[in-house]
Amino acid sequence: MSAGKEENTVGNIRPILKNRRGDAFVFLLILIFFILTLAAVLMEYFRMESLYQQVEYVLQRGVNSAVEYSMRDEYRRDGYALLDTEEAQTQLYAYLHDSMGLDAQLNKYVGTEWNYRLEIKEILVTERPPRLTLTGEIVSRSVFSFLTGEVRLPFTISSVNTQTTEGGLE
Amino acid sequence: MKRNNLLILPLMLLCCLFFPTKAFAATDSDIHIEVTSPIDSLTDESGVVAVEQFPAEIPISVTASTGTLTEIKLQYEDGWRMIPSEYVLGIESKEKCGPYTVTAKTDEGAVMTVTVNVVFQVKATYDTRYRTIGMNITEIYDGETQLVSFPEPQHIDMVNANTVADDEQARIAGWIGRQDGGTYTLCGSLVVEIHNIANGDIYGIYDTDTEFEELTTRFGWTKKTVIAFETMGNTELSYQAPVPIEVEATWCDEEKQEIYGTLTAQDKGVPELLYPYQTTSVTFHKDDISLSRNFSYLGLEWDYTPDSAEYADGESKTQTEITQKIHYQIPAADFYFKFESTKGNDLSVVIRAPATVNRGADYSFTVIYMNSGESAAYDVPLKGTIDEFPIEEIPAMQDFPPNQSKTYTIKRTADTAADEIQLWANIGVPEGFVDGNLKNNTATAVIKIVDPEPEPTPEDTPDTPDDPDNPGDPDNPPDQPPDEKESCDLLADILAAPTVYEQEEYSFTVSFTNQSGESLNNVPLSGTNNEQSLSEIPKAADFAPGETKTYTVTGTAGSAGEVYHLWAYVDTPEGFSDENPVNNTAVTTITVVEKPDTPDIPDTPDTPDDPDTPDTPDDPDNPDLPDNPDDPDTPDTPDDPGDPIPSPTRICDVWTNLSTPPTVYERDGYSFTVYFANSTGKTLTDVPLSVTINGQRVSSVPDTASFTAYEKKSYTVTATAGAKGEPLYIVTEISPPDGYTDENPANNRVSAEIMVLEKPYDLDVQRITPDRYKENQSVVTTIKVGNQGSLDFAPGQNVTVLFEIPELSFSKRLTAIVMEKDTWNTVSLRWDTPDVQADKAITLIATINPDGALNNESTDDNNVYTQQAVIENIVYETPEESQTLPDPPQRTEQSRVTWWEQRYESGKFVWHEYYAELSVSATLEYATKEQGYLKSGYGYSITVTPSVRTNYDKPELITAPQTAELYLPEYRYDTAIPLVKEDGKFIFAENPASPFLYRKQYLPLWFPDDTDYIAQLLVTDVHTPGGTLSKWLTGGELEIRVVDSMYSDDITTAD
Repeated sequence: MSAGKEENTVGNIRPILKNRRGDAFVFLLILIFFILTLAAVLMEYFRMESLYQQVEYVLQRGVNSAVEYSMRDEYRRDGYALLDTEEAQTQLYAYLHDSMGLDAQLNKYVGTEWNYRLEIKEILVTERPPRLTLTGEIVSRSVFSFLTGEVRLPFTISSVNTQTTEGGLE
Repeated sequence: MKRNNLLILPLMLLCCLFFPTKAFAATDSDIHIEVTSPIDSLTDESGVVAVEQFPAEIPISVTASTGTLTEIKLQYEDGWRMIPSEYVLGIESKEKCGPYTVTAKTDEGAVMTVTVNVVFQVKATYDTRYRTIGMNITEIYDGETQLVSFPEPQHIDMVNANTVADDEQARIAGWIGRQDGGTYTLCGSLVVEIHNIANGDIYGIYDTDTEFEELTTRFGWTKKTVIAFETMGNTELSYQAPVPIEVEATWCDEEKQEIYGTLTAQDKGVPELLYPYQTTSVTFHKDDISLSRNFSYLGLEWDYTPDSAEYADGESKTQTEITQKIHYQIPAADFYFKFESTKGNDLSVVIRAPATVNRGADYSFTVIYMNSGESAAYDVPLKGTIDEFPIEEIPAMQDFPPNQSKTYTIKRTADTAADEIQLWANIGVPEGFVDGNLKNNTATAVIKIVDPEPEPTPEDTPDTPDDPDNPGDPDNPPDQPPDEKESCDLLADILAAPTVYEQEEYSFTVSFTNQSGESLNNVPLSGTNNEQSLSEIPKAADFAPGETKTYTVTGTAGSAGEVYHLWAYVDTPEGFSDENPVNNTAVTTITVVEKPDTPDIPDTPDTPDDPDTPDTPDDPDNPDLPDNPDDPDTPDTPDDPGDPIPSPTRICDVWTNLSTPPTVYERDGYSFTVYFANSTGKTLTDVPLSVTINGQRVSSVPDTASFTAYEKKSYTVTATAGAKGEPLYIVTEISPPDGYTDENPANNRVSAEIMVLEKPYDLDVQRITPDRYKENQSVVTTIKVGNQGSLDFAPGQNVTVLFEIPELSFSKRLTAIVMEKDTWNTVSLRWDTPDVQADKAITLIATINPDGALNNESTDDNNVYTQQAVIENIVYETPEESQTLPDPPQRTEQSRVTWWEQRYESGKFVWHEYYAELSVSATLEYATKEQGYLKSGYGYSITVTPSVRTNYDKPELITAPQTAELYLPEYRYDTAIPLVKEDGKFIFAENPASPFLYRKQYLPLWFPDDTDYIAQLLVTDVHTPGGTLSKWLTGGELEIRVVDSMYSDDITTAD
């Protein structure tokens, strides 16, 4: 926006403000409404962002934990990193339910109030390299849901195990 | 309930169908008679058959299941006819109805008689009907003779209007009351019951004979029905009485006085009673009753009562079995199997035990059971007790071949608090054996217990565990060869005049000589005169090198003709071995002769004997007793040697005698002593001497010799014996010199016979070791054999040991075993143990001289040694981890063994000490070994390198190490981890816990940091003739410092 145009805008608003027919009040109302709306949007955005960060953080811990737990010791002691893929998924779901407190449909409630739901699109587990990649969406509701419907926040979380010392070679 | 009843009724009906009543039928009959009418039938029994029209045909079929039919007779009213086996009886009218009797016989002696009552019956059409329910018996006939007449008719039930009910059999038998095989006829009439078929009402029961009128007039019967009743008024039944069977076999002595057992035909399955239509047979064999093997079979006798042409008495010496056919006319038969007991033998027992034993010391005694006689004794019961406790070494029962004894050496320790040990042994008399002397069947002995003095020297210490001469302890291998005994040569001699006058004193000299250069202490001496010990000879004496000790024994002669057998013996002292044991014994004899009446010399008539001076040397009647009998070699000078009794014929007395060993060994050197003596108080020159052995003159003895007055000369003759069994006849002779007459020529010639024997020896097997083996291994078994005796066994004599394991069908011969006399040796063999599923008991049997090729053993009872052993099934248990870490336990090992074996080298027996030693090196390998630690969780491998050093010249008898096991702290050092052998080294087996089957063992993850992981290694199963080697290694190269864990070696991060 150029300086000339700013002057024109201010110049447009100024007559409104000086207008004694009450236009200023309407304008003020609109402005307040706008500001409140913007504030609400921002607040909702940051709330969503915060929720996403928290969930992603917790999920990352869960994925790491599932991978770490499911590394096969009998291979590990022979210097070979191999992931028990089934065990990793089992551990991951156990984490989602037991540690994150999700119900069978992966809904998260805070008290009795629904908070969000995880929708897992894909769990990709590889034995070697031992890696678990969790892909899905965090489904939640915002105050604007009546306009936008449910909010879906996609995520992809991956974890890999790496050997630093090969102490078990034959 | 009603529903249940509905179910029960058809079930009962079904049962009835399955088990139909065979009333009155003859069972197990040889003959079968079947009579079939159009309505019903009879099989092997009397009864009723019905026809419904005239004429009717009734087939009669007669068959024989045993034997052949010889006669079939059909009887009706007063007539009879023979009929074929298949016959059709025609019934043309009601008059032909009635009883028909069929009698059939076989060539086996069976007879069957049945009576068929043919009656007419009408098909029922109206509701009021009759049915036959029984028969009223009025009379019973034996042929034409009336046996029984009943005042009131006796009713018997019938089944299906056809046959007599089975339960009536006993009543009929009771009426007749005979068991004679006869055939009896029961006469009477049928009984009918009138009933209404529509409503089940019963109107009455009527005898068709006695109540015929009432029966036929009350119910409005049709004419045909009345005819039917007419045919039922006269009926008969046949009954055949059984006979008791009396056939018996008896096992007895020849006179049938002593009964050993009996069996009856009933014991062999023959019934007590046999009916005439039955036959059977019975077979008796002499072995039906098992008698002792001591009985001898004499033969079989059979007696019949009464006997007849068909059943004649008889007997057979060889027949061992008899089969008797039995039918109802057989007489009583008795068979006798005759046996004889073993006679003429004597069973006896002897105990040989020491008189005393020190308290707490080991002792042994021998029990000898004997069967003296020409017959064997079987199943002889043996018993023995020590202080009333049974002796386990003595078997309860034994067989004895003729003239054989069985000896049991019992070893015990005198650990009782009592002052004596009571021994008792008994040999029982088995069944079928007559002992000739029962007084010697029990023997007793008492061993006094002496409290020993405190042990003065360590040498008195009893057998130490390392004593190789203690064969009773299988865990005590022979470590040392027998002590080398120093050599010596002892000699016994008897100097005695061959004759002595009756009632006169005599003396003889026993001398013992140490011919060696060694001083000998405590040399046992002994001597006897006619087995009476000579008290003049001490029990032991010390000998300087070359020393001779002489003992003079005096006595008074008895009557003429008595012979004194003198015997002297010097034993080899402890620690010495006699080079020539044959000459340790000397024997000779003195014969008492009648005192001659010296012929009167005309110029010097007999001076009567002066009873006060009977022994003067001047007395020619007593030449053997010089003045000084204590010193026969230097007799006192006679009173007047220079002036003997003048005698123109020049009287003298010279004598000779021998001192010989009683026996010598074949082809062995021996010696004997010849004595020549001049018992005259004057010098004799050119006295002829002669010594021959088997007629060959001995050149070492001069032909003549000169003797001073009363001089004795002795010559030791040495020679070599010939083959065994060829005795040596030694004759020595001395003659008076020319111009002299010997006043007692009886002592001028002496002969002796020396038996030539094979050197005695006794080979035995003393021990087999070890007694535990592991499966699937090459193992070494060592057998200790002994040679107790005087014969050396060099390789050429081929001493053989046969080693057998019957359970494995394994046998192996070990040949060319060498053993010096009175020593032992060990022989070993290698064999492979099989796979076993569980611990397997085996029997190791070693037999020395198995073929009896060396046939002069003093006893072969100890040639066989049996050792029970076990092949262990080796199973390694799955170890259980424990987080309690113990210190490695102390282990015992045997990494070196030594043993001795005897060899024959350069013509000599030599003892060699051999050894085998196991050494082991082992290392653990792991990835961070250079850093000096291993993180828990990771694995390590092992390499064990064993080696065996030995100087043994038969390396094939030393196996390589076959087992290595690792004991680990996480298993509390309890459970072994077996290692496998590859290329001579032991390593871990492939670990199934490793995905790559690495040959590793893994440190437990919980193993604490900064702690030493100490493994313990056992290497064993190196089998040698001296035992099994084993070696333990703990720590050192088998130690790992544990730091951190494998979890610190990886990381999981966001990708």
